[in-house]
Amino acid sequence: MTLHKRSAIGLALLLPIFLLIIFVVLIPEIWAIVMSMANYRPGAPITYAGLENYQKILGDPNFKDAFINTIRFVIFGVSLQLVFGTGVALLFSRQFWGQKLWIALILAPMAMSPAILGTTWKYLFNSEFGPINFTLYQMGIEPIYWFTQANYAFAALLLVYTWNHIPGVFILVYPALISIPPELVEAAKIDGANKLNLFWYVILPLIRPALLIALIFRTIISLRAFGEILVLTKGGPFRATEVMSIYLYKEGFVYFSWGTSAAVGVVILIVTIVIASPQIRMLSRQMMES
Amino acid sequence: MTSNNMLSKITRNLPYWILLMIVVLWSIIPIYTAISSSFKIPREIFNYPPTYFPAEVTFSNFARLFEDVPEFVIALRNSAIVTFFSMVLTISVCLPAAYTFSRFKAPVFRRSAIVLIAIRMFPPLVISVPLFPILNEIGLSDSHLTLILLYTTFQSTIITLIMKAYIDGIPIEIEEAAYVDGATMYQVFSRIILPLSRPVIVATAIMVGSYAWNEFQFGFLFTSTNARTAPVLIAEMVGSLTGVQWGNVFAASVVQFVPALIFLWVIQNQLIRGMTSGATKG
Repeated sequence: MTLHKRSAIGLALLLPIFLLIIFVVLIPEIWAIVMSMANYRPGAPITYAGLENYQKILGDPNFKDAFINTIRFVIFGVSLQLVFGTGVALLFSRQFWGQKLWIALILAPMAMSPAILGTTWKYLFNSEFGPINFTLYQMGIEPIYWFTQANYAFAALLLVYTWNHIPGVFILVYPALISIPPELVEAAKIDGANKLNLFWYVILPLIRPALLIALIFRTIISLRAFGEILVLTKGGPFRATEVMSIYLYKEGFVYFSWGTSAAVGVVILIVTIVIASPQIRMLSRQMMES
Repeated sequence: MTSNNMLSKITRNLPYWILLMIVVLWSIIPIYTAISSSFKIPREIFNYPPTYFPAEVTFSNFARLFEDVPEFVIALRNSAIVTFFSMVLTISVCLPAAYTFSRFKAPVFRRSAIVLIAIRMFPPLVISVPLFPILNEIGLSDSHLTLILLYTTFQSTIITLIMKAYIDGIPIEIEEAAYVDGATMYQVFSRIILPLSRPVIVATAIMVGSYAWNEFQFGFLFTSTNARTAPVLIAEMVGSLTGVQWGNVFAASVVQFVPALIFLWVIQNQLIRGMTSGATKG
């Protein structure tokens, strides 16, 4: 087979996936950038708006709040996910009897729809009959109106989101942990390392690549969090939990202001590209090597 | 091992076991809540103090769900259609691409893989805004096809990478021997690569299936009555203004997530291996 013919076959095999990516992602993406620079509403002629939409959202205090909420949400959410995900992975790095069953149970949130997790947590957090307030009551704490007070709503959302995404960190960190050669740990123990030293100087450096991947992954995914927030708080009370994705949704799908909505999308896109670029570089290095 | 030794082993491990139990119980809170509440008499769901076990096990919630919310059957059917075709389409698009990325070493293929990964990083919500008017224009809003194409596209990159890693592990000598014997490329693919890739095809199909079955955002934005999927309908049931029928909600949730949980447990091992085969090396 000639080299040309071989390349042609290879390209033909890649055609379907490229068509999908081009038509479903790339063209709408470019169209989003175009829309963000236009006055675009249903039923009205499309006119060029330049950077007006960007000026509009940057001047909107609600967008500023959404931006700050997003950063708060991502920083707190990702930190909590990483700490708890790594903690659970560390716990499981001791082999337990029935290990597979326990892992299956803690991975269960991954198999559930954000919509259903959201609705169930909404029941659990209910201020009148919810089990969480009852547990607090037993501990002597007054009932909390979770979704009517800004800080409590934010805390509840963080708790739910962290809970849902601990398994995502676990499946990245756990394999890295169990692939650490036991001799290394033994050697450190012989040298008199206590548990904290062992973790800090031996284990942590070895799982750093996995943690880095988890950090980037979780940041990208938390940036686009939508389902849980919509079901749980809809961005409320009074926009206290409104992150950029909810702001975008409201602009585009509730107020039909497609131009400004697209501009928010472009802002989210830029933030994502900045955060994801080290990972894309790393993946492409792997791709070129293998 | 003497019994003394065993006793000391148990007491030494006890704190870890307690910790493990706390983590496991904490992880299954929503699942347990949904399942146990779905078997409670509706009145008991609002009991204060809440009950951990149904005082009286009843199936009435499930019966009433299908009476009160007849759309639920249609939503389940929509979910099943979208899930099935997303699986089929993803596998048929990704396997040839993965084969190319694994076996064709020309730089153009490596570069196109990177382009794919980079484009895939785009957040789904960003394309939703422009897609909404486009889909309305071409009459594809609220259709199964739209969801199938969206789900396939947004899973295609990761699935291709997982498949590529797997095909990398199939010795190329088998193929070379087949070529020496006069096999065509199509024969090599269909008689060697396809059968040998079965484990990864099954695992990735279930990954896609579980994603499509549970997806909420696209379903919520792009469907209304015709193609509405089960998660979207359940979320709507909780947003009801006339009072939430929690008995129905929990019954619907259980019907929706039990198949998905079984899916996950079937692929658990491959999932951990597949997700990390590329990730932990760097």
